[in-house]
Amino acid sequence: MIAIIGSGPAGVSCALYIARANIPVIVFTNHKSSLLKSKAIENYYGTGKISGEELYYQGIEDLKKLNVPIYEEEVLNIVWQEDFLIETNKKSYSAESIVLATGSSKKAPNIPNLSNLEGKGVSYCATCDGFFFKNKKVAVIGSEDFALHELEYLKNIVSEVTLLTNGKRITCDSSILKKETPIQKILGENKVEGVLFEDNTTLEVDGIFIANNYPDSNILAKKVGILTMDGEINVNHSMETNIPKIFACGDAVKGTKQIAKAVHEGMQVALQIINDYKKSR
Amino acid sequence: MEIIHAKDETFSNELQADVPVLVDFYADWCGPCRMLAPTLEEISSERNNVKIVKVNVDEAEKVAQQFGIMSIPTLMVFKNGKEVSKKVGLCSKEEIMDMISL
Repeated sequence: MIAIIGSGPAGVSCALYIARANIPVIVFTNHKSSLLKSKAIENYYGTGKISGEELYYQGIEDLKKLNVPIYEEEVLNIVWQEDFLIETNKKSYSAESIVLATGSSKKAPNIPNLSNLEGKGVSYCATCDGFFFKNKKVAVIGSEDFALHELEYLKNIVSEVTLLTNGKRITCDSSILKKETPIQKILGENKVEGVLFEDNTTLEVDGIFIANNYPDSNILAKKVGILTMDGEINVNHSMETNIPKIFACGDAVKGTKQIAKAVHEGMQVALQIINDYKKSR
Repeated sequence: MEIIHAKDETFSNELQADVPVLVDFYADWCGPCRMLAPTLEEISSERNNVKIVKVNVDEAEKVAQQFGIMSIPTLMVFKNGKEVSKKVGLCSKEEIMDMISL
């Protein structure tokens, strides 16, 4: 089965072609497409003047007309085994091929001294780096499902993990240690030593895991072992990443961030997948 | 040059070499490390002027701790036994070749 992550122009375009070729395909989405932020689009062929929201939901309708299953779940991790395992905030799914149509990556949170300490205690992936903090104290920065997912994983490895929401209010299980005070800066020069909050209190930690919002293209790529450059996923001329059978298209890859490009690349990926599928059967 | 697999006891000996030594800290359960492995194999078969040493962090815990490894893959380049560069995370063949020539 082909799994497409993302339901913006790239993801939907890809799904439409694959579905029409009668190949099993599913789409995962959190409906957080950047297309929804466009108030008026006037340069996309055939649509006159249309809002991003209208165009986006027309795409979703197109998927429903072809009976493409849409799973409204947050994809939190991809594991590369024989097949691929996609872990969402609800379940795990197996797929023979994945299309990352996950849009452009977010910038790192604007916390002083955070990026200096990347790889020196600051990590974006609990499953990748949790191992190095066995029996140590760590913090997870974030306030949504992704942060809770990373925290759950780390709980079994570290001596203590605190959820830092950096100013956001959160309701979660009372067993979770948390602090909602905004963060002033990360302490430490050669490695993470702690966190300083705006009320001048501190928390001593050896490691910090960033889990803001949801894992974007860059973070999903890092977790599974896909090469990126400046936050964009590297693909070859067949739109395939360095991991065979994982493709990427649209804003997630290099080039202009435009609907027309995303739609085109979604189609390109689909044609490649359809071709490979036919050859293998 | 063949890739060497170092343990805690053999690591410091492996750093003594006439050529730059590229150390790869990895683990079997690490996806990105698996992606890096073929690139290192390529470099080792193409070049004789760099020595590649792999350190499995599950087996060589002391060495991993000694060098403050907090994320894998981590690549380190040593010249004349001294650390000259360090890179955390998966990177391309070009980036690795740049590291070695420093």
